[in-house]
Amino acid sequence: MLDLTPEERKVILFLLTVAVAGAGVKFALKSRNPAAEFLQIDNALIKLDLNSAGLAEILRTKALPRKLAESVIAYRQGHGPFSALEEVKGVKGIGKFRYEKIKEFFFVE
Amino acid sequence: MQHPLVLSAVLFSLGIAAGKITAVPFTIIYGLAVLFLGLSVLSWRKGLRFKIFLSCLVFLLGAVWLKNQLILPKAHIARRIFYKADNTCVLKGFVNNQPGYRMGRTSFVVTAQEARFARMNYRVCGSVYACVKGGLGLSYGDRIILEGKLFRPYQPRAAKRRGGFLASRGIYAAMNVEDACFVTVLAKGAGSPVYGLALRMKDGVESLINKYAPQPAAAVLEAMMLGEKKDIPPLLYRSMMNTGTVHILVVSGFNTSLVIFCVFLLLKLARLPRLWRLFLALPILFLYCLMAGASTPVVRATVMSVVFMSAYALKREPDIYNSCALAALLILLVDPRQLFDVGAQLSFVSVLSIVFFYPKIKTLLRLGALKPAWIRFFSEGFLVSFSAWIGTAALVAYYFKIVSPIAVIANIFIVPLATLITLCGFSLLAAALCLPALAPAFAASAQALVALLIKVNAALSSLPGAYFYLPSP
Repeated sequence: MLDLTPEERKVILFLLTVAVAGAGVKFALKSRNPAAEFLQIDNALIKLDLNSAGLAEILRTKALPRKLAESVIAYRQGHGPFSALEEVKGVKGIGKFRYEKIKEFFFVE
Repeated sequence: MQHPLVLSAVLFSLGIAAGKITAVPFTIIYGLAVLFLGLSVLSWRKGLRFKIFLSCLVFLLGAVWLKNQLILPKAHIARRIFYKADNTCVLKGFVNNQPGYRMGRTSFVVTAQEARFARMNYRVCGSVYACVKGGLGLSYGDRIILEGKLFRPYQPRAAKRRGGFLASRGIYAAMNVEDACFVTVLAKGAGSPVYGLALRMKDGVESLINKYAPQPAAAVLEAMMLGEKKDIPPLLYRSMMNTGTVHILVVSGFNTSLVIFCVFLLLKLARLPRLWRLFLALPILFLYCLMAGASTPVVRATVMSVVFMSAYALKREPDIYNSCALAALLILLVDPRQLFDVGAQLSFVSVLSIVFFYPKIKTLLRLGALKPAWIRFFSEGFLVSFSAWIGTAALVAYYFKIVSPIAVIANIFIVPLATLITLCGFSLLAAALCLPALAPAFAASAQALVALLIKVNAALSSLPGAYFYLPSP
């Protein structure tokens, strides 16, 4: 009945392995298992924390020119750490367009 | 001659390079090409003399091809842009690519057909890169009218790098449209129906991926399956560039072979004969090439796959150097400027260096006799990665000013992971279409693998001496 070639068997086995592994991952993510932490993509791996990033780090992203980066740091020092990324709009010179760019590079813990 | 196409491709490329460097007018090069064509015809019975004349002809053809491509027709829209003049115009044409929305702006390429400057209408041709403030519901093939300011993209104000990038794609004019209300859609359905279908299919695949996989896993899947990198977080992209693994985000030979494998498998299950399977796989492969943006790496991979499939059908041994050269010739015949494209250069150089160095080093180190099998697997993986790195390191250092010794090690771990992610992505797609209940499980597997890939990449890039930047001149 199951007259399958070796390639077909490999494909079926691969698909079943992925499905079984996927079910396991879904369970781990739902149950907040400690293993789930490893399966989640930490924001810090793909973005910079705007509250801890230094001037050199901000400039390296090329998301902000030097003057604006300095303003952001001055704002942070004056008002304390940002509680949400949207707060950065309060910095003089950061409008809607610049904020869109900042969103791509930074996050706030 | 064992590799006739290789010599032709090399001569043709040298001709293109000479055409770029020298300022010799087109008519002189064309005259010389005609002269050598005549000499080749006259000496077609003479062995060596014929070969020399033919080689010169192919070389000159390269230069002629490039010069001809660079000369803009009289009606070209770029010829209507004048320095310090008010270049505001009303442009009529159709959208010739998939519009993209980023940072509050919609950008797309318009094939210009008619332009109105100061109440005067002109028939025009050529492509214009349009940038409109705000979102627009445009799609490929929409016939539109837009009003804005035309400018040459290579003007200092319009960012020099973009100008260079656009010019390498045959775009010499750009237009800024202040608001979406200055764009009117007249009709739909212009442009190529096949390309339109490919783009619609691409949209469908993208929405399916985004439906089941969260970001940034969906972005990585889109890049690996369709070569669409717009949603990849910029810092992740840079991190992968640092470790020399950014090539996994480009559609290449691996993806095309995977598509062929899937199609073959499905058709085999339908009990179709071998030749039928080959003929049916070709249009699907062509469609996939268009879906992946028909960039040089994917066109190269498609042409090479077609050559290999034809050899398989004709029961002949394919020659990888000749198939690579054929791909290069076809790409350069369509657009000779691709010779100077970084992606194209890296794509060909990496394939050729793997094909050239890998078997030689493998024989030298006697890796085939290594036991157990898993040590052989890792050693061979290291060798493939090392072979590609030897060929591409100089180019990467020249263009991106970065040297990544970690690339050799990183690719051993990243490439198998990328393979698994791509396979998961295609499985997710199949499941979403045939058995949607299974799709979340496939998406979860892909998400876990992407997380692992990002973590491995981050760990490797943080190693001391993993990469270093070269000083810019």
